[in-house]
Amino acid sequence: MTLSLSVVLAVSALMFGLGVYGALTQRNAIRVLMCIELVLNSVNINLVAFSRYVGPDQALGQVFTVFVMTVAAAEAAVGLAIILMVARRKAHIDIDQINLLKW
Amino acid sequence: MQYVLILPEILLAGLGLVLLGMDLFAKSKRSLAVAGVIGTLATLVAVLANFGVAPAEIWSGTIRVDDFAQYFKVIFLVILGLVFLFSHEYLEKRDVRMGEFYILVTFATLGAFLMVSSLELITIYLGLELMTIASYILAGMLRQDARSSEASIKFFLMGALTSGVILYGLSLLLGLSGSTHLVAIAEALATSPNTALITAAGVFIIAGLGFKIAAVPFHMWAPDTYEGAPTPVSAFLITASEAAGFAVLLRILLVGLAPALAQWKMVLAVIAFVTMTFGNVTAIVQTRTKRMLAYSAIAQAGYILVGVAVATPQSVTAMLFYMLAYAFMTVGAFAVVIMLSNHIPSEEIEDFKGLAQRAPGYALAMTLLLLSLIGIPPTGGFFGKLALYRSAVEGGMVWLALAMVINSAISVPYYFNVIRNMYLAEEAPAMELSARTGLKLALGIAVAATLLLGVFPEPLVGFLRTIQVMP
Amino acid sequence: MLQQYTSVGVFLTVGALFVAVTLLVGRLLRPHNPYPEKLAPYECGEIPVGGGQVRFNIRYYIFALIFVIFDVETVFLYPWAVVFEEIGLFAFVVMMLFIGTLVEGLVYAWKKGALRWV
Repeated sequence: MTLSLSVVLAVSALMFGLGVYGALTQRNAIRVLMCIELVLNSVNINLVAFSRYVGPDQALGQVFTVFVMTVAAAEAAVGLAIILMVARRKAHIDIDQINLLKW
Repeated sequence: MQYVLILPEILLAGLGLVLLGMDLFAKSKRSLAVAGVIGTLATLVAVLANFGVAPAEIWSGTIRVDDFAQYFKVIFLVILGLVFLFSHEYLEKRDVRMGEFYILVTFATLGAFLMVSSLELITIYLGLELMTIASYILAGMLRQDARSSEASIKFFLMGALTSGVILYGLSLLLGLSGSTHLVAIAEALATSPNTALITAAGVFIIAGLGFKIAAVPFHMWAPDTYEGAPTPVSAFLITASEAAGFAVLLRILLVGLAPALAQWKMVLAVIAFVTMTFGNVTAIVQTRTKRMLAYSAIAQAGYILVGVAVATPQSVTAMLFYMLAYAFMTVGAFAVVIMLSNHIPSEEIEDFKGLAQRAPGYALAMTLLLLSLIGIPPTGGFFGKLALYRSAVEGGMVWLALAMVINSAISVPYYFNVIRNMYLAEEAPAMELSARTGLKLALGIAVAATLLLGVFPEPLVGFLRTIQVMP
Repeated sequence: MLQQYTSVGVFLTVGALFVAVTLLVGRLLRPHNPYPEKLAPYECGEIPVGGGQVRFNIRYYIFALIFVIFDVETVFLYPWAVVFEEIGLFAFVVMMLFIGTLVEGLVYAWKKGALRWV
């Protein structure tokens, strides 16, 4: 009972596309952050799939995945802290209305 | 001995941890800045001692020590040292008594170190994230300033997304080759039939790194971030962060994607052209100093990108030279901006009015640095640009070389606007302008190095010719 | 390839049917006797104070952020534990450095008051 690699890659490509689309179109900063997490997880699927189907070193993709997971957690923590900082000041996190800086 | 080879990284990581500990106990954050400068010098000695050793890979190829990496480390350390020198006064004037600044800027530099001293995707990715995550926080350091928070959140959202995009490209490279080492990847790609996937990986990686170096059309975050971030952080991002991005771009294009390099040269040349033109034209209409310098930085990234697009040994040499000169002249110019904004917080170009009468030394230094940014002799900027221009002509991209010349001409008005304000403005508000030793020292070093690189470029160029990007 | 999912399909159908049938049988058998106290949040009689959908103190998030970071770092301990015997002392030293760095981070957060409940 095995899936073919292309099916897995299609799923991850779909997730990646959804994540990028969402990150570029959503206005709520938390939603953008969630979409970015979707992108990172699509990468994780890719990496695990490659380590399963593409040799020779099967551990490599999984090692990479572990690093991506931890970095993603650190990134999310920092990102949430930054969003909190903005939310305390503005009482909203609508990124279309964060527009002090313009020429 | 492998531990000698990574001594710079160990020292820098140690410096970060020591600063972290000091922050808990030190009353005045000044001691952190002093410790930072000392640590930077110690690391610099360790880096210089490693010059000329045979290229070596340690820890299963995850770290690579060669002159290319050492040279970039020198650039980063120069920037880090100068930033340490002028940051304390800036932060104190704004009542930001947070030791986190020194800690984070040290760790960001460590990330840049890891980015350049590896041919291995996981290490490159970790270094990239270490640098950028620290930078997100640094950009939002002025918590009482809404513009700083805005710079931080914009930088974070775009930066995190582009890290994801780069990562997706890297994962495709792993899938195509079954390896995370760029040399093995190049070997696998040379015989791989999946040209579509290779192109896709290239698109993701180049677009993602394009964001990091603020190349048009991936630049939209850059002016806002560079303007809103604390000025020392802007200086760090514009120089160190960009240089690290260029180093990785060079490594990935010339080593990993070498089999597919030909198809990217034209794309990169167009990006370089658009970037420099857009940056220069937009900079002309700016009225705020930092925003003008931000667009100028985008234009300069365009010039440096010429070196990547031409992709010959000469162009790489020219790039390396220009990046060092660029670090000195940009950080120097920011030192003057910081000095001025410590007294006049508005940060408009108008603030430079009459600077020549009030503080002739600073005005002269700024003039010299701006001349270097335009590319007028006898400065490092001139020589670097000339080398880039020559390499483009010899590399068969004459149109790009011409574009560089025309762009330099376009850039004259907005740089000259500052000089005009300093020397020709009639009314000058009487005000005592002064700075602490740290800032003066940083400015002095930057100006001296810019002049030195312009007058005696030969020894450095001779050394840079020996640097190999390829293993 | 779809045949490989037959068992999954059967499992899903049986599972759904099982839930539906149990709920239906329960409904038919049990006595029907509603009264308002049954709808109270705590059936033991405790009377709740204030609404259920309050805003949480922002401090919860800071604790959560710190927790997330230290929580995820443990993921490195699993592969380390697996290969520990093969690598030996070097692995031990490296992991102690790693944990030591984390501890310094924890001490830093502690000293800076991030773990203090105000």
